[in-house]
Amino acid sequence: MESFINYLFHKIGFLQQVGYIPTAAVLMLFFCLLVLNFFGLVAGFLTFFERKLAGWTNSRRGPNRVGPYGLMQFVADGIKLILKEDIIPATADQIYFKFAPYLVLLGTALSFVVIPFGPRWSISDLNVGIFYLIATGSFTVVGLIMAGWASNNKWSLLGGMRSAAQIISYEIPNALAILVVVLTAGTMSIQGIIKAQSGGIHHWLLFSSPFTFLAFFIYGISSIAEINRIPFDIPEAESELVAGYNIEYSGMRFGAFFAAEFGNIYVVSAVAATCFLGGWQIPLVEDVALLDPIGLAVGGFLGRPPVLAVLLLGALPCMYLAFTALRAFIRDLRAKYHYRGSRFVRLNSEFLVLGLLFAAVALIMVLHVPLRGWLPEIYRLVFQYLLPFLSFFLKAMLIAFVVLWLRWTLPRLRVDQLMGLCWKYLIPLGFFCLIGQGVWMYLFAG
Amino acid sequence: MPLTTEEMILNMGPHHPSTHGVLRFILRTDGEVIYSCHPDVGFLHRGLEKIAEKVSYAQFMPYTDRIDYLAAMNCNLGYAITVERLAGIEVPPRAEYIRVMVAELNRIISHLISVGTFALDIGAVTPFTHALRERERVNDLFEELCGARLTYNYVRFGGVAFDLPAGFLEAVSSFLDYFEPRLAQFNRLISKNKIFKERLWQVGAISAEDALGYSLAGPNLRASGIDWDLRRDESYSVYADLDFEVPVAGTEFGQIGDCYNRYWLRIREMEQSIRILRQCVAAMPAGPFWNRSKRKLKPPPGEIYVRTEAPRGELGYYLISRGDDRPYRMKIRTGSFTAMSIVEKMSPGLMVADLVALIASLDVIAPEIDR
Amino acid sequence: MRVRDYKVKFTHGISSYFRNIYESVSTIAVGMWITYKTAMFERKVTLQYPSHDPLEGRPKDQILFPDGNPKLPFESLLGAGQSYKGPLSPRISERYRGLLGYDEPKCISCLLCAQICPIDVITVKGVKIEGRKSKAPVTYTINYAKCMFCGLCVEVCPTDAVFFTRRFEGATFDFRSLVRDFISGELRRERLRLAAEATQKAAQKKKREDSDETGNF
Repeated sequence: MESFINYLFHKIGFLQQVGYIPTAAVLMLFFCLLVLNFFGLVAGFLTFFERKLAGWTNSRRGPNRVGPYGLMQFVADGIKLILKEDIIPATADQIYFKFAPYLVLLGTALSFVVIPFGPRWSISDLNVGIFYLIATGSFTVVGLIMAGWASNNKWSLLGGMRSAAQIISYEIPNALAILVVVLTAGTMSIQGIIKAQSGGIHHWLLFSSPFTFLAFFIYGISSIAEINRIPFDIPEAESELVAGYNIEYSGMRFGAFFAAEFGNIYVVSAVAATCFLGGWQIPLVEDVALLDPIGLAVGGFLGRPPVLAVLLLGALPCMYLAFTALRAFIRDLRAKYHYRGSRFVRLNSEFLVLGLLFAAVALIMVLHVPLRGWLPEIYRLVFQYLLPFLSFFLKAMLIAFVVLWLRWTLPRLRVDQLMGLCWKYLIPLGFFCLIGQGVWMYLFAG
Repeated sequence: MPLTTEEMILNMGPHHPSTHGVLRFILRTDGEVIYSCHPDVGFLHRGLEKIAEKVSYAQFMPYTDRIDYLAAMNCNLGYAITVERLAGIEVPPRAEYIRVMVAELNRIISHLISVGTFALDIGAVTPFTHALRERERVNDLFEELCGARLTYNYVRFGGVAFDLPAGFLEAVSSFLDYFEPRLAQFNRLISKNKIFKERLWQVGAISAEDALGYSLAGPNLRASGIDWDLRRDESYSVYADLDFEVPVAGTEFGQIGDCYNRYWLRIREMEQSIRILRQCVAAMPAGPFWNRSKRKLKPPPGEIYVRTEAPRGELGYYLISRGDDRPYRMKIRTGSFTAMSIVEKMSPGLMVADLVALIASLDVIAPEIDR
Repeated sequence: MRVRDYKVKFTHGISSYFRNIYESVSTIAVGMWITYKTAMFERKVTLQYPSHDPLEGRPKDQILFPDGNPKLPFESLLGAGQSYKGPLSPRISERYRGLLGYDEPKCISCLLCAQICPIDVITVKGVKIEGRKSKAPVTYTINYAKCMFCGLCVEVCPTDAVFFTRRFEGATFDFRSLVRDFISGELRRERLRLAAEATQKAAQKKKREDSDETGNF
């Protein structure tokens, strides 16, 4: 993204002569807003997927009413939270009470600065990227303690304290596992770590040595404790019994905590994917730069007239299928609206989804014709940007799936057992991994 | 200057997310450890014993459903046996076997809810829904049998209200075949889980003397090591003809009398109930299902106390009759009431999370406490 | 206040250390496999009422009776009451205790149902009119707000005039509509008039008999 920003800056740099417009800053702001949008969407999607997974593990379906297959559920949840009454206890500390959710959100949102989406695609590739991530994770602690204290509720305070103790304790095995990664990769910058894992699956840190394999699990367990998920959600589940740190929050303030938690799940999964699963590396491709000629070749092939003719011909049945599906969907909608005894009419989301899919495919096929000059460049960009992004996103979602899966399988640990796990099991194992990895590297990596 | 922590009084109030009903505990704690816990009962008191003095014997049967709605057949059964013994009514053998069958089916589903909510209180959500899924199968069976899914009003004086519909015994057998592997799967999911074990191992150990002193009964008593089961020791109905074991606490499940033992005892009781059910299905005799007596039943004057083994302990009915068609006094002794009383003794020194585990392991249910 | 000695088996010796790790990992892995299996491979038990037919896709062994056919809605005993013909009716069993129904022509006003009900849900009043062998009801009120579906009234009715329908959707916005009188005002006035006539005729007949016995009047 930096090279892209520089490119754009050169193109519109003339604006600086018009007046003092900090173009770089404006561009950066625009990209930051894009990434914040992504954060919101991912957090929302994860809440939806968690409910779906909750349903499936309990032999039932999850939400399936609000949109096609229930996908708009998180939008409905967000609207509901915004519309709720904002209740603030009169005896609560007003300023800190209102400020605490923003701190927690800040901790999560700041982490998105260094998370890469592709080879040159992150807001900023700091050369202390990993260290920065561990640092921003600590914002959450301040926010939680503030929330617990400001609620003027003894149990809120205790829940906040307990959560803070948990997060601070588990930062140590977290950092130890990350140290193993930094030791192996030789750099703290995130893109550097990913580039150190190029060369095939056996270079991914998960598979490269038994110590990094163990470090992956240490990182996984301590991250789940950092984000207060089951089996470590004593601060939240305390609210089942007595009170948690967010008991006095209602409406969108609670929504902020909630979104921060699910955003954190994504951040943690993304970091695990970058450090241990190779980030945006694609399994069979040794170096992403190799994708460029493939992209150019594909674009060139598709730009040839015979192929374009075939594409146009193929677009016609797609358009027909799209029209049919959408007509069926609209017919169902009208039946549901007009027929008074219509509660037995099913609204088939499949038609809507299929219709839109076919329409998109047809549109893409048709658009090849006017853009045939730019096709090589377009496909080069697709292969260079889209494929690595998909690879990264899928890996992060896979780990997020495991995090969600653990929630619906395990009971929760008691506070002293949680602390015992950290200090008596994870930290010794973390040190063992660190030293072992050093020895391994000395012996095998020269 | 020494660092002190303040003691605070917390109300684990009647609005409880836990599913044991409307219970209230007044805790004195410093945030971590509980100094004392005082249970406050009475939120679900409906005056059932007073109502018994106002309605006739047959009319009171639906009220016995509501004493413990998760084990309604057993409550019905206890009441029916009480009145039958007082009035000297004979029950045909088919009815006896049907009664035992529905009582054991009800024991299975009551224990399913018990272990499911226990896992839920410890934090695992999935076992609860799995337990409910199995329970739905039995609810369907009961719906075919008597039309209701929770409060059955099925047992009558001298028999049962309806005969078994066609195909019911095959349906029960197929349910048992379906349920046994599901129970094994449930154990693999949660009962043998290390985190679950660590939460419950040696927590809230009730010694045998305490258990007898506080008159615990049922699974709570057997988990403290005392081998006493009313179905075997003071046998009623046809339990004497059936072959089953009575599970008692074992050290492989933790300390004698701790929460883990109580949990495993219920699982093992479910396995024994499956055994009893298979025998009932195989040995179901033909014949009449209800020895109908007068609707306005007038037992001879006298008093009687009959106790049966409900899933939550000993369910006793003490009945005084003055010869007319209403009871003069009906006292109901339930297992959950005594289980609540022992919470106060066991709680000093426990952490709040352990208190929740203790209450869940005692399998209290609010309508039984307050009647 | 000292915490009770929690002899948690976590930290006793080296062998138990590794045994704990092994046991944790193995039991968690087994649990996760069971959850995954349930999530991905098992049939979901949700019945999507009311938009989907709940029997659609339901495996045969979940339909209780082994002959495989779901029970058809039974309508032979449904007189004036309406049966529920929606998608769930094949699934509701024959003996299901839905809302109470009442078949007026069969009622003989014996008042057994009103007497047996533990919570006085049913109110009946009957009069003797000519044309019916037994008494005819002039009011028959069921208070659906209180009914607990115990089935005692259905059991004692000698003519099956009161019965369980398979309706279960009784929610209303106005709870006064839950007290329902099955005898319409017109019928009630008609019967009271007939009853008054019948008593008049009986009184006249008695007067004539009395006068016949004691001579001329």
